[in-house]
Amino acid sequence: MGIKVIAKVKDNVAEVKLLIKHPMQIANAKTNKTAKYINELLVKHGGKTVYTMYPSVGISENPFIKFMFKGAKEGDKIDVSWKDNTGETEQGEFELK
Amino acid sequence: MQRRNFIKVGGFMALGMLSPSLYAGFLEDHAKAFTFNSAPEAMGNLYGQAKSAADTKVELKVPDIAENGGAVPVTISTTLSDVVEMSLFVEKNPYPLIAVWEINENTITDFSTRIRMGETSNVVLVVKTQDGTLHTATKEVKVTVGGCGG
Repeated sequence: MGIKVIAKVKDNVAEVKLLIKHPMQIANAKTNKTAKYINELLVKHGGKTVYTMYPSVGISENPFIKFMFKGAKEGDKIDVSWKDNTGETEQGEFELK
Repeated sequence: MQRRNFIKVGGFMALGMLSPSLYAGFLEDHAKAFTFNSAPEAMGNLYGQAKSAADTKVELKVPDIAENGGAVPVTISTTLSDVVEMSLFVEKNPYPLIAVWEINENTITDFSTRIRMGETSNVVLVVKTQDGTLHTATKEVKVTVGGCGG
């Protein structure tokens, strides 16, 4: 697992690229694999939620996510967190450059 | 050890357990939408009988041909205001509902991600506005090698 973030601010708009290490595994009866995929992804900035996504196995392995939000400035921090269908979670704080 | 910590600054900083209650309640009401094998059923779970129409203010950027169905780049955006939710469907995937995005106050309605496509299919973007109406954009992507093998 692991979250990588590239985040830049221009004219108070933050552009955030997330790369999350996660198998986003599809259930497969032949190989006895059970589904394991991120089903909630949240990003907060200054206490406000700025990105809310409910993914499924339809999102590729090691998800890439890009989004933008207003009201940001350089040096601000964002809080990225996800939860998967097995209850596993990960959270990290990142600085906007 | 110190050096390793230094390298981590600005990158991944913390690993922790989160209480599920930190999350919004969408999945309590709509987790089932992700389990349907047909796009109309999944849309019905999300939006009931809401009116839906194609809208040029809704933009779905996908490649015409995807060589690798395992990671098809998608950008979804709209110039509509008062957007409350966006959702993405691949009609012929075993589970057509790919993802749902809730739109927050400061969110710009322009997202990119990579999706799985099992075979050539229509991709449908649905944008829901505050008045409850649905605005859609549809494009076909031809898939050379499918990406839904587990």
